[in-house]
Amino acid sequence: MMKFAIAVSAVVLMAGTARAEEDALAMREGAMQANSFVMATLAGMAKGDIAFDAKKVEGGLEAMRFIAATFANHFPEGSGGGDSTASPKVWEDAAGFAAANEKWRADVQAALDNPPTDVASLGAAVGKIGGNCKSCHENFRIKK
Amino acid sequence: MIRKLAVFLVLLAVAGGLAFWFITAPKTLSADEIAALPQGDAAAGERIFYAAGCAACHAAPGAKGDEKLVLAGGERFVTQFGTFVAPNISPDPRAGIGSWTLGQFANAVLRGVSPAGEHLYPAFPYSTYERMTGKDLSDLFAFLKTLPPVTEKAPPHEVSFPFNIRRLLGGWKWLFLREGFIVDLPADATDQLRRGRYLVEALGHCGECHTPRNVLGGPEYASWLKGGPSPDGKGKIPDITPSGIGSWSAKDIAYYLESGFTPEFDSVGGAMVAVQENMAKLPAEDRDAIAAYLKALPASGG
Repeated sequence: MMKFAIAVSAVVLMAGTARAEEDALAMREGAMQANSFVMATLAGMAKGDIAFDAKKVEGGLEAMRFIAATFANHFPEGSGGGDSTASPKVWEDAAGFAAANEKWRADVQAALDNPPTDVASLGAAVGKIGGNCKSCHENFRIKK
Repeated sequence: MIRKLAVFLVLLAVAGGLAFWFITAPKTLSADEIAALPQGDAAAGERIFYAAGCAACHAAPGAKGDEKLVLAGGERFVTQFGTFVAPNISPDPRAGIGSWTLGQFANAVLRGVSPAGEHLYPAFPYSTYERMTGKDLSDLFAFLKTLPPVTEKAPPHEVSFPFNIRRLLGGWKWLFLREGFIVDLPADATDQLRRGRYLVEALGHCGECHTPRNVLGGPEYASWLKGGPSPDGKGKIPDITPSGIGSWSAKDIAYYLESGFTPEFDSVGGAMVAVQENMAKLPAEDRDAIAAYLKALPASGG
């Protein structure tokens, strides 16, 4: 469902129409919010709370691919601190952070290349993609 | 008169010294208590291993998947009292705990006393594990024996004066150890709620991070599970009583422990990732029991 992808992308883009560091913060928060919206839909289907719909799955994955491919752009040098929950490690270990983002994007791409056809295969894909949320938040986020 | 006063002062000092000596002396289990420990069952011990979260601290830093069964130690815990380094608790007889008897293991886990008879630092959560049943303790010991040995010792703790005087930890224990469960349950409480309390208060040691501590590092039991600043100084640890996560249903809590996702589909992060991954390995009934217990906590005070 292309409309869904466009709507989510629009949320991401709208979140980022201001200036440098402050805007980087708004951009990444908007991106994560949009991402959690996609995750809620996909996991809701995988759990059986929402009816499985292959089109919605594809739309969600398309949106997430866009979010994942651009996410690392929202962390310019000096945009940590303050209200940001980004760990200093985002910049100290820039290579590790870039690799984590790339793995996330690649896992979403893999799900698009081999799209889930039922609740079970969706569950497996969500588990694989969701592992990226955890490993990145484990290393690169600080709860405030 | 002066002489009497001097004698009195000396007696007072001796009495004080004796009190200090008795209070700070490491207290171990009796021979009868150790003899009463049942034979361990390694298969049953696996569930205890995950519920008690041993690997979250004792696996090598950054260990993933099956590497978490290699309890090499080495993870550093930076606190205001110094840096504690998780020891090797693999079954290697020299570098790990392979030569320990069940009784020595019981004294370490339930009483915080090493085989050498010294106090262990409460970075090791014996203040919680002391509520563990003898059966679970024996099963856990049997399970640990099945894990791969690691021949290298972990580096020592980096703790400076006065915290390097282990004897003083006897005073810490005297002040802050609390026998029995923290939360009183009504006589008609369900088995699920009792199981949840045991998982949280005895094995899971949730309160070690989620309960704030005073200046001496003692838990503030009046603010049980109400969160506070992170002990490593970075960020904060959330309130997991209904005053913090009251909007989560019991199902939401159980799903979070299983999948790592909050009801808003934010994900688990930081040190909680290792904890959640342990909880995910428990049977669903255990996660449901933890959820039931957290939902039953008082929203304020407590």
